Amino acid sequence: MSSAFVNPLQRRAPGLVEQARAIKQWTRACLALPDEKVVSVNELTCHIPGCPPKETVIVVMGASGTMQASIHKALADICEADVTEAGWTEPGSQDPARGG
Amino acid sequence: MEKPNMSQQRSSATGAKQGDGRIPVTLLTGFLGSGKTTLLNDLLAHPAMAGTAVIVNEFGTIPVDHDLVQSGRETYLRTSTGCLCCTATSDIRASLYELDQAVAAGHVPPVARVAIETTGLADPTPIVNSLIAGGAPAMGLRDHVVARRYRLAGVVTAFDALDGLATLERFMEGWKQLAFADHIVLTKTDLPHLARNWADELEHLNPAATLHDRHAPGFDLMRLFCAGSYAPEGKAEDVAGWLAMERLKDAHDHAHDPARHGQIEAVSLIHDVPLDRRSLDVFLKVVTSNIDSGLLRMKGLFAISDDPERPVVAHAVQHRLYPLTQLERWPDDNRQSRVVLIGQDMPIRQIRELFAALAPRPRKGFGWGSGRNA
Repeated sequence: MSSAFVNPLQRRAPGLVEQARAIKQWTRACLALPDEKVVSVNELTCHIPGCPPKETVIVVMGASGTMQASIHKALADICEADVTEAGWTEPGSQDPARGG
Repeated sequence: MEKPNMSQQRSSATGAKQGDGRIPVTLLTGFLGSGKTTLLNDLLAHPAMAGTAVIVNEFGTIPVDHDLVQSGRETYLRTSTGCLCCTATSDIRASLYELDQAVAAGHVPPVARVAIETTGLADPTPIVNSLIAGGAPAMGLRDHVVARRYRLAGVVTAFDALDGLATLERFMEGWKQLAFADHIVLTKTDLPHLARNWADELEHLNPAATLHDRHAPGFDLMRLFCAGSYAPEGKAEDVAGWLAMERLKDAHDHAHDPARHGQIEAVSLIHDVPLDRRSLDVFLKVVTSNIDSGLLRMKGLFAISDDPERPVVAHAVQHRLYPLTQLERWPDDNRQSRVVLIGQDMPIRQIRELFAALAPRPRKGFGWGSGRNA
């Protein structure tokens, strides 16, 4: 077993699951989404020159269609303002289209 | 322990397509070092598992797990390196098509079921998407044959009771592996670990999964094999979202790098000559003892100069080096010592140099080979 000391008082950043949950809550609040809408969060990695190395994608799905927002930050670095200021698009379209 | 309080509901479609004639495929996943290969060996040793074809995928460039799967002579075993989730749709369907052709040609006996062991870093989304109805579209005859002959029956996820929660804090893949599961198998519960209510810990990630304790009396391996077809509908909303994103991504004009795992890399090292056991012990201790080294997983098979016909097996998960074991014999004709290290921001140059230094010093008149990179 490891004898590595872990400081219990050390401030920890939220784990990925916890952070994803917060992003989903911010998304629901920002777009005033009803409960039946599905909100999902994913983090993509990209090595293509010119692309940010990590991108967080939020997808909102419901009977009326699907919307998504891409934020060029790692999931762990997203704050509420990133979500509220994100440009929402319908998949396939290039124009931001905010709405629930 | 079989924990029904996580949920008694199995996927709604379980059993719905039983007897449709297609061969059931079970995806065995779990993060690096969670005990997938051990579980697979247990499954293959079970008498009821005769006729199981096994596809093992490994992250490094040299297969080590392949040598540690005790499949027996009659079992079809195929190993691929790279990562299934990065090349998922084409590779998994190609592997199943190859199996189908091998059976049709009589090269292997008829197959009752297929078990696919993913890499520990695998995102199950594209793999599941390539094997379920309504998922990735068929791109040709091969894909149509696979869809007609095979069905994804279930996802089994091994979860390390020692290090699993720490993994969840950092790696999306670990979360997804749990979220997609029909069955979650807690492993390493026979080792000293903090007592936890695992049902409470994991329920919010996948309330539909059945939780098993690998070391509990009455653990029934056969319960892990679902009779019906995999149903993502019964899972947490994240699963539906990830699958939707996978399909959107396919249609998206921005081609992301297929290597999904960011800074994670695998280092594969080989020695052609038997190694001194004490030197090997030092090497293993050094590469695993530094908790900041970035190491996530190490697995190796080593020829030892004192007993070269009985290779030593080494496993480490993060900085935890497990007791070394010794096999009775080599799994095949390859007598090379080989080790794969997977991690983030590892001191690769130093690791390579340290491994190279394991080569026995040449005595006068003899010319030993030296360590090299695979």
